[in-house]
Amino acid sequence: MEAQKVDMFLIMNNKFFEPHQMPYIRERLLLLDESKYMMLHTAGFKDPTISLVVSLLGGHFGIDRFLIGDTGLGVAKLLTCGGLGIWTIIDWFLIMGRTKEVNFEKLQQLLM
Amino acid sequence: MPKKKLYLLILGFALAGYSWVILNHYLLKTNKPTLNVCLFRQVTGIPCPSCGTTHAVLSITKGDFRQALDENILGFPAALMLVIFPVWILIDLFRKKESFYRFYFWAEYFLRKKWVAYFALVFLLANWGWNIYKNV
Repeated sequence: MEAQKVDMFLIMNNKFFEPHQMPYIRERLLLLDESKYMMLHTAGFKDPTISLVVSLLGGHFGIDRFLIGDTGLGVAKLLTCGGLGIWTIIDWFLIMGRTKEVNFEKLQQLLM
Repeated sequence: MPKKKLYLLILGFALAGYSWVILNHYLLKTNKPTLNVCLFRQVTGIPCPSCGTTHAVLSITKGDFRQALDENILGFPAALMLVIFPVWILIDLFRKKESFYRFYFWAEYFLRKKWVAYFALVFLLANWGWNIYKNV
């Protein structure tokens, strides 16, 4: 893929990934076929800020975990009153990082 | 999620779950007030969908299923998971297989199906309404 297109993709989507993942993503995208460019734009990455808001409001019921696709952990959180309230608070700090991790996993699946 | 991380996480949950149940069993037996840790209940004053699960699990251990149903129906899946999952994982680790790992992802996939998700949502909301009505 052209360097210009890759850089544009990175500028538009940098909030979805961790900064340390960026060089790797750039390298992989440069090697990617041009035809996959549109597919990348329609991937539908999850916004870490939205998951933080959801975690603050509905984290007690595990909705934040359901949102990012961690359904199993969402069920565990729901059944335990948000991990006795402790997990809810821990997730306020972890959920943004986990969302970025999930986005990275999704991107890797697309790049394969 | 890698297999090792998932197994450790669930074994940790199971350990915490058993400790919690034993602690509450001791508190009930000695007629001490049980701990009210539900953040939602403390903030809003109304019980959350899973309030009463601990008491339900304790009732199940005593064989009083009717009482468990009255406390919270979610106590049944919680008790089942507490019994089955750690044993399954330990067998998996012992036999160096990954049947639980595959089951976990299959269950996640199954729960994400639209009709299952809607059914679960309606069931949880109904159970929550019942919880509020009973004021567990």
